[in-house]
Amino acid sequence: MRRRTRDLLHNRFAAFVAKKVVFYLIVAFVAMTFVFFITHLMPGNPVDRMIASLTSGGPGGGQTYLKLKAQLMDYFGLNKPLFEQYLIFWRELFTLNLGPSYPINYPQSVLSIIILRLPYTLAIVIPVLLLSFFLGNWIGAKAAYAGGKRSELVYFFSVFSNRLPSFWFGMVLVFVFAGVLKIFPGYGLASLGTMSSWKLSYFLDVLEHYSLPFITLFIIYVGGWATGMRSMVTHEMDSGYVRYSEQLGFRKNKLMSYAERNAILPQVTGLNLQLNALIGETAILEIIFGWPGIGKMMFDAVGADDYMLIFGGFMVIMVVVILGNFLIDILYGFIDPRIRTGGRQ
Amino acid sequence: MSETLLRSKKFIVGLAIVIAIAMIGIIGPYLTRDPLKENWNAVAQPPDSDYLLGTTVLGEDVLAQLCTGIRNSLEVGVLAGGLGTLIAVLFGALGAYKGGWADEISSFVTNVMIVFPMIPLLLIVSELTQQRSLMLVGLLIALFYWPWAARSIRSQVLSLREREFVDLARLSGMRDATTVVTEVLPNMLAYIIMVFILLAGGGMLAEAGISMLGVGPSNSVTLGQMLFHAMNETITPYWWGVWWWFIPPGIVLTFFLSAVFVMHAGMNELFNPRLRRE
Amino acid sequence: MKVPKRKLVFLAIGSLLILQFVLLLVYSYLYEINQAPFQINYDPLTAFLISWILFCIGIVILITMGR
Repeated sequence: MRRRTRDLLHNRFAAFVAKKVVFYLIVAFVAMTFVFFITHLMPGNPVDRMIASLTSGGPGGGQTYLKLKAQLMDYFGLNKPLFEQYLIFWRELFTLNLGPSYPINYPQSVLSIIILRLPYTLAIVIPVLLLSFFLGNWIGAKAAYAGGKRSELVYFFSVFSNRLPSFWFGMVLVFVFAGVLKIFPGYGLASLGTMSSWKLSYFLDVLEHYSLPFITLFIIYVGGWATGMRSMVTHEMDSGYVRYSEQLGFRKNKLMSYAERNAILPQVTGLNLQLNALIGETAILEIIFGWPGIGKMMFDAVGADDYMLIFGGFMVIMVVVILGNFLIDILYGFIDPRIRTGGRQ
Repeated sequence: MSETLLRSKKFIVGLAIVIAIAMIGIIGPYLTRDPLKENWNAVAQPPDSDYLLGTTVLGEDVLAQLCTGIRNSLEVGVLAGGLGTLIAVLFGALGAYKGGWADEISSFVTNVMIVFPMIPLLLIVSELTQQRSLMLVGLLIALFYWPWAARSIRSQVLSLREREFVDLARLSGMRDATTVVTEVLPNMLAYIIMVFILLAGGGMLAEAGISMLGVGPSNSVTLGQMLFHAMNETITPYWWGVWWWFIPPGIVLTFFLSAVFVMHAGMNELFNPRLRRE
Repeated sequence: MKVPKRKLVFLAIGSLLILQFVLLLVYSYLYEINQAPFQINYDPLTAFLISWILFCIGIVILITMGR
């Protein structure tokens, strides 16, 4: 058995993985190049801006100004030819030098800020993605199997909840649960003035602040999975083998698991798209709920013209997206028996 | 085929809601007050007989804002949808039809673009532009949304490519591009229209999202802008409870998007008869 | 009934992930009442968040294996 797996792995699956690796590397390359060109397409010269903010925007153009500007341009390598700057850009990337954050947290390095904020965003994205997938698909499957009016009801509820704009729905939930019912807090990471500590009360406080953004996205995404899975399972059931096997006397639970197993495959493909959408929506919700993740960081950076942070943040988001998509693709290749065993149609 | 479409319950219900909301957007602004007119005597009032949806913090009529908002949001959506569909047809149809090289390239480009997370990109690009018109926002959204449409159009063209009338056209010596435009596309017209509607819906949603973050169209009342102002022009909005201000735009959006989804589902049942029995 | 080895491994991993979160909570409770047996020099918030993420992954693994 083990030898056979190794043989097969050397054939189809490895080729599959290799293709994915190449694809995502290209995406990464395109993304980074895109960032580079955007920074250079920006109107105005960053050095001008820098000098302006340091000298409180006094009249420029004098001899001292020009000398200073020349020195700074030289220091930052901005007067080198574009291609050379491009190569320097890549060298910096590979040494993980994303520059200092300016002007927000100067001279803290962008990388350190991002590493600090990344867990907050991931703490929402990963649990929502995983947990909503399971609950949503379970609801969808159950509804499909029940059929009839119950199935229709679940359909309309799940479509509606899935189409709720996340940013708006977040506002609504804050209004209902924070404003009116006062169960959950509506903003921030923890109650005002509390210091980060190992105390349980602090953890619970954070959890309370975490709840609303989490629930907002959770409901929306559960709806999405439920809608899809319901259609998939209904389709499976219509394939006949389910009703037929039922007649033959198979137990319902056993049948359901077979139908589900077939139906879940296309759902896993959707996991990729949902991950990308989820990252974007989490970013928006962070801004609204004041949850200190990457999204809020980008937003503040955009507000303060902190270009190093903006682009560093974008690049890290790309890396997260690429990694996530890659992992999900591999997972799909693992689950799909056709890819795993290398069957050719 | 239009008769069968009209028989699909999902399609009809969806279409009805879409048209209803569009009507509100088109006709509404003529029947309501000036949405930006402030009334300092009636600030932040809940709905009553005069102001059917209440007033904002500046005394503006929420119902009027809603109607104008629907219209402007629709405008952005239609722009985004139209341009996006155009680009999608270019990449999806031409590439899929020509096959081989052209197909590989266009589907590769599509797949690469799909991975990009839209919101951070939109944030960055909006940062570069100071004054944003409705048109600009529509354009930007189209630039980020077309890959989705291109994918579906491509699969549809691929299936149509093998049909008889296409072979006939090829035999009679028609050039590829001509064949696509004159033979293939008209047969997918309903499908393309559906893609357009889907993109338009998505465009409205995207506009609302970036508006709420403050990088939407400047100086226009859209559904997203209503949410933005509701959030930012009240000191503690949720505690003031101006629910009549920020709830309606979202509800309209949700209904519109759900209707578009249901229309699409109805149409899918048509194009893939296997899914038809529910 | 013999359970396949791979399933056992995953079950173990899943349980471990869930356990670490519970242990973290227990530790923080002890810390609150000043009975913590030792000090952890890591940033509590990051630890909590990462622990929570792993916890969710653990639940998901267990659910998958439980089918």
